[in-house]
Amino acid sequence: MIMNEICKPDAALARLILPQKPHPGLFYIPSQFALPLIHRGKHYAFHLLTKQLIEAELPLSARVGEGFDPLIEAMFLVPEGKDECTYYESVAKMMRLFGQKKGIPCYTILPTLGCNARCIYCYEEGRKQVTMTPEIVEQTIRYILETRAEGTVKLKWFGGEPLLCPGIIDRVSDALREAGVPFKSSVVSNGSLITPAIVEKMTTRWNVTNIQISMDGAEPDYIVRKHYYADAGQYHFVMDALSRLSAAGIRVSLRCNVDDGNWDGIPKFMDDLRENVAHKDNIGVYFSPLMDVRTGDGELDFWEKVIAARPLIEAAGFRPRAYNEPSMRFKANRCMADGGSIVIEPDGSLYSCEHCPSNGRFGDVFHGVTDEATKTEFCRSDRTREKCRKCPFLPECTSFASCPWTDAHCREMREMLTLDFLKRLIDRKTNTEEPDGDDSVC
Amino acid sequence: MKLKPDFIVQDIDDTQFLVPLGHEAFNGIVRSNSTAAFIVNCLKEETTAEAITDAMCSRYDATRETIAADVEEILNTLRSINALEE
Repeated sequence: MIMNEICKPDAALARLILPQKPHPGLFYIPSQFALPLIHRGKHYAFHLLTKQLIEAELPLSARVGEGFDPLIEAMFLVPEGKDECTYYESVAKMMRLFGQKKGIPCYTILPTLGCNARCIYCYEEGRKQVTMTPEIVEQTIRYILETRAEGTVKLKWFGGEPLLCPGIIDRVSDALREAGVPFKSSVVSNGSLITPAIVEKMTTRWNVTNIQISMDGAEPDYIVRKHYYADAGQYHFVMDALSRLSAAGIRVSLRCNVDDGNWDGIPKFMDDLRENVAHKDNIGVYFSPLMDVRTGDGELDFWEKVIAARPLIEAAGFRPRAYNEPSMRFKANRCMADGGSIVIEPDGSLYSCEHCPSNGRFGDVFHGVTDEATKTEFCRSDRTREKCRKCPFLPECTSFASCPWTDAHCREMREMLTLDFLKRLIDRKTNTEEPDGDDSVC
Repeated sequence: MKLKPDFIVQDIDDTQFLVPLGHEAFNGIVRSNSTAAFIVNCLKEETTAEAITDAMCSRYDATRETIAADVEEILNTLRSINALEE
């Protein structure tokens, strides 16, 4: 036995793709998707496409019958010269086609680009603060009813600050309910407008299951970075809101945007969260380095600090939320843009992604999709950037060249985060560490 | 007869898959063996069972009767998942 399985491969992929048949005469080398690691003196390998984790040492090369056939069958070893990027693209295309529904499964709605904060890092800075008119709201409802996929419709409320417009969320939610359309919602917010009445609406009227709230470190940093138009104690108000949301059963993802300027205040911020957020059960916390960090020379050093800060989150009584860690299931779609979702801007324009440049507009709620080529551009699985074709982390990433999101050291960053994740996973699976409550399980 | 346009043929390495696009009657993926893959490739264009059998006879070393039975079996499988336009 040369490999001990720690985590099984993705079940859906394993049903579809037969084991790779070992061919005598071929020369096998480690797959580009096989990530080797040594942990507590043992050799492991994780396959980033199939998601199988094994205890084994991969040979530099092998032929059939040399004792490595199980590694060949499991695709940890592949024929020398195999174009694994094309193989991945084919698998991704098939899984996307299979998962594709008739109609739109998810709508990201921006009721307004207005915001009560002026975050110093906001990528929407300088954009005109448009809000949906009643006419656009009504047409958005008609558009959803005409184009939705069967089953539960997902609404993602984004902005600007979407909670500046609770009346629009009321109207869309009520209209879907009156039409008998099952729906659930998520919200991306700064949290500063989440009163008890809003939490009540979220649970009873808007069907909110998840919310992402951004905070920017300890109070002095928060005040400077959020730069609210009216500073009215939002730091403590948002902490109360976190507790209310968690107590109401809404899953909260607390995103703490960080860089060198606010990092020193993070221990104080976590202390404040521990003391002021009474109900913590449904709250996951993660640190998200800002774009300046992620495009700069110091990116990897900063990610090391982020990894090392995980115990701070746990010590404060919260669940560290996975961020840029590998998924243990094959995901055909890595983001909203390649998953058939639609972004509706306040003026009714349709986009694939709220981060995409303005030339990504492909229609509006009145006329539907008027530029099919632009819309489908993001769904193509054969647009891998040239520099990414040999990357082991390709299955963990948006695979299309049009994505505007880039890290300066993406491969090294993903390797760092993945190895940290796998070591924790191995400890949990081999019982060398107590469970920590993380939900990222095999 | 012809393969319905809402069934996509996808080749991965030397295996052929038949993937339905949001199909109401069938929710699965068909993995074809080499015989089925040959027949599915024939069905990308308008054809008949007779023509498929002719094409297979020129490629495979078996009696026409055996090949015709294989073709009919696979066509029936494709009919059962509503993949054929006839």
